[in-house]
Amino acid sequence: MKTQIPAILLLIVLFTNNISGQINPEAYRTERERMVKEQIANRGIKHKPTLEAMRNVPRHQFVPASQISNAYRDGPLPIGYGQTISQPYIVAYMTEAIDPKPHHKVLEIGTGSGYQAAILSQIVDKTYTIEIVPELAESSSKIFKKLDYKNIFVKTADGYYGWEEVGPFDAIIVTAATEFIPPPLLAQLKEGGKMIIPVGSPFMVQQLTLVEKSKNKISTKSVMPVRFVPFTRSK
Amino acid sequence: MKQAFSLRYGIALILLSASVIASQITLMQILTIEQWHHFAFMVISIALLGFGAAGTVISIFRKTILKHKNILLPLFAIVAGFCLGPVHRLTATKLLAFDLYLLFIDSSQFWKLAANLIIYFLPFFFAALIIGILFTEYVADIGKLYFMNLIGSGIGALLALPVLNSMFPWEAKSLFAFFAVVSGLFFMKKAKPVYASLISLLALSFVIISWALPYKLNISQYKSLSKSLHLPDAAIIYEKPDVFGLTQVLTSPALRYAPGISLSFDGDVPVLPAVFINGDFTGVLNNNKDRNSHPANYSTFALPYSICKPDSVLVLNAGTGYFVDQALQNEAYKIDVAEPNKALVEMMQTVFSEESGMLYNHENVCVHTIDSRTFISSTKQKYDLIILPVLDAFGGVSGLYAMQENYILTIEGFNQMWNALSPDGCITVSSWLDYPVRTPLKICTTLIQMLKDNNISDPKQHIAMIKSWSTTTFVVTKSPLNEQQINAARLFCDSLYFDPVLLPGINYDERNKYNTFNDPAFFSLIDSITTDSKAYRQYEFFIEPSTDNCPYFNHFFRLKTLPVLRNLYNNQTLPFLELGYLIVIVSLLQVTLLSLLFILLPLFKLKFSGKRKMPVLIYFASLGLGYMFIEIILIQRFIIYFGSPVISVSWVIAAMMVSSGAGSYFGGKFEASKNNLLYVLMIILFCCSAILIGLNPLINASTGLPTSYKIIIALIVIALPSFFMGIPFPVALKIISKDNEALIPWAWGINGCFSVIASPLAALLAVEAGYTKVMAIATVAYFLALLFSGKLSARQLTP
Repeated sequence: MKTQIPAILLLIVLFTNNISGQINPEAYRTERERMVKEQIANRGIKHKPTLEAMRNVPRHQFVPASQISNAYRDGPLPIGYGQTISQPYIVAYMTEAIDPKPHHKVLEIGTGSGYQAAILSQIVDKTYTIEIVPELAESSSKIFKKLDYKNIFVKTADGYYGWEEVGPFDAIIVTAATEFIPPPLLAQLKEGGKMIIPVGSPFMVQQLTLVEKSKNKISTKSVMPVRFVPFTRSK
Repeated sequence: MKQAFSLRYGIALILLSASVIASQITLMQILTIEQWHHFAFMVISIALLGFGAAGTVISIFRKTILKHKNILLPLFAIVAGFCLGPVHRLTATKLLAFDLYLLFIDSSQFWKLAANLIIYFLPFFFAALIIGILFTEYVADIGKLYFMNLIGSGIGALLALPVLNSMFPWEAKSLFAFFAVVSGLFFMKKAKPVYASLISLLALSFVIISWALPYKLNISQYKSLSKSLHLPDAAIIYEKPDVFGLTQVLTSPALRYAPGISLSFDGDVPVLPAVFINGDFTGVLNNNKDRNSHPANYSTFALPYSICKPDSVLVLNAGTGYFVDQALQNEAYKIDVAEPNKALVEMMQTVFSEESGMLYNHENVCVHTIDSRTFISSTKQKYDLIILPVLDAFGGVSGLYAMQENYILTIEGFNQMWNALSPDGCITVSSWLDYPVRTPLKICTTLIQMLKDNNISDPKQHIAMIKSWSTTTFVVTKSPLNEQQINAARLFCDSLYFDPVLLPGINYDERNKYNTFNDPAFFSLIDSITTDSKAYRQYEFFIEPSTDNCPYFNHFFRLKTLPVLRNLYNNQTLPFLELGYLIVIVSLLQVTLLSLLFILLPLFKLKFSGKRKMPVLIYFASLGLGYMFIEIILIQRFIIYFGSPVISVSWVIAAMMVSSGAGSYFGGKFEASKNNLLYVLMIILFCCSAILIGLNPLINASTGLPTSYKIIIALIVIALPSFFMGIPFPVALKIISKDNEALIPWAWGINGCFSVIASPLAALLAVEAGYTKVMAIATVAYFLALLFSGKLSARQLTP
């Protein structure tokens, strides 16, 4: 019986840790390394700061407690309020697509879980993020504070107006699919700046639209993480 | 000595049968609001398997059940009411709240789904037990019993319409559950006083709980209404129940609508109230005084106005009138609007007339509350512009509507639109750019086919197609596009950062000028489609034009390309390509496996051997399949005829039930002999053949007739075969009862199981092969019944 007590205590410690999500951050490092190698680098992401950020940010801290065991899975996960934390590859792809630099100021529309903002914060000078659902804004702010991410600024507001007081921005990431691009956001994008927007249902492989502003003209480019060219013409 | 079937029991049976059908229709609407239409389809399929399960239970415990029937009949009725009422509310609790969208993401959803299915199954199971007990106990009166059962079902189908028009579906559900409870009180006469008191107490507690507990819907967090409710200060300011669905109007200072607006637009996007039907976004109420700044004029949807100046416009499935408003802005003089949702139109003409800018009260606008296809089929008007609604939702709808029929997007529908065009008229249709690209390609194949059907030798001269970063718009013109129109389209694109995709004489570099589409296969496929009408066959998705026989525009899935798609998309993504289709397949598998179980289980008691079992199995299975297939075919065919799916469903079900009930009643008066059964089945086969050959031409020829004539025609077409189709089931039960009474519940259960299997099977067959094939299979089913009708019993019988 005596030998069983420590085992039971250990189980209790492990169990409660799992519930609260307060696992030693190092415990997931191997999973992150694997995620970056298999899901991201192997699929063609080469931007070193992005890869490094994906290795460093503890994704499991940004998912609901019930999803911690799936945190490093190759897919999006539900976070409540009809929203998702994007697939790791999509986060990496969007980050690479805006070509972030250390001196950049980036705006994110739709904080959601906060994971995308956390990745950006590892690369750029300042990350501004706007979330319309107060509960999500609050929970992500708490995580940023807990993980000591000091260069992320969160605002609970309607993303339509952007963040005029601190703009213009070198890049804008819109994390949730949207039926139109708000004109104020385009106005707050610097000359030569880039904006990226996902297109598609939450749990599908998403197409992305990259918007570029150059000489006051705006052009877009659809970029597809997974190329779909099944059509073969008959000879 | 068996007791005679009393009038009191008859009334109880009618009430219970009405409750079952009306509850089924009501639960379908509740589930459609909470999740999506095809989830409702799946749940109700499982729920109706209660009939098969009841047959199994009665087969196994027949003697015990019949011995205690006086107490069990009222008890089961009240428990059925309880399960429909208070017990059903458990589905909205946190523990059991299910979300279809998470089914392939979160494993806990499988258990929640199973619990939900059981909760939906229980009321139908208990109601079916009562019907099964009555059929088994009073088989001598089976004609009368079946008549009352069907009459009750017909009343339930008819009653659901006015009730759902005036009550919220959750209130209607409580009302219909109460019907079941009242039927229990009618069954109670022969129960002992102590049991009677207990049952009455149970009934009373039902009333109190139903009245006291507020109803809470469990709406999926991924439905547009749920998402909008998270916006700041979001409030529902209007709610109205209707058979078309629950209409809700929501306001929030963050709710803006400007779909696909140009990136060159630098104005303000207005905040507008949004309308939701069954939790899905339907449109906005636009009280836009400055008509020139309307967002639609800055999207690809404005292409037709850049190349022509239409006087007369027809807007199909107009919803809240986004394109009607746009037509007014572009100075259209006469605008016809076809919108089948009467409640929506009335709301815009009365309660929200000001908020909607008096749009549907405008002197230039004439609103027809009728199905769009029915309107096109019957109109004699000629239009300069016909506008279809925008297809697909932004970012796709994950194939949720893959199994939904759409009769305006069929070849026949487009041909009728073509005929309704003035000499310089045009049709326009827009869609969101989905990924992988499917919708714009299917529009293209459909338009090319339509032009070819109308003897246009060079279709490319009649089509303009443009794209933005998110939308694509087609304009197909009756006369070839002239130089002026082509230049106007180019200017329009340049001014709003759009790119032409198809234009006569297009330079291929133009296609990626502002919005680079980096998959060259898209353009090569578009080009192939415009030159070779069969090019679409090589695409991994099904982009062949849809037809009236197979009206599933949103179905893109090809089973044979599944391995290819699995390689391109992972297993988690794949279900979202065609979720609706997948749900129907899952439904079919579920009900087939459970049916097999329900059919085989009683055989452990009844024994597997015996000459009559196989004929009984095939005969009753054929009747179940055949009857339901014909019901589904008639519902589909009368949707366009009456201009409303709701009316078609309720009228066809009601007319079939009442006619079959009458057939059953009269059939009971004649000798229950093999020969008579054979004659009836031959008449049914003749009717099936007549429907197979003559229904489509009859409907096409009479669609333009006044409604009163159409009702008479429909009644003849539905009632005549249904009358005879009501005879073979009770007569055969009577025949087998003389050989082996224990086979009655088993046979009844088989019929119930196959009736349920028929729904998902018919849907899948219709998608893959078309409705004509479904009707052909129904005919084969009745032929099989005819072949095996002679082997049901060794004896000749008299009533």
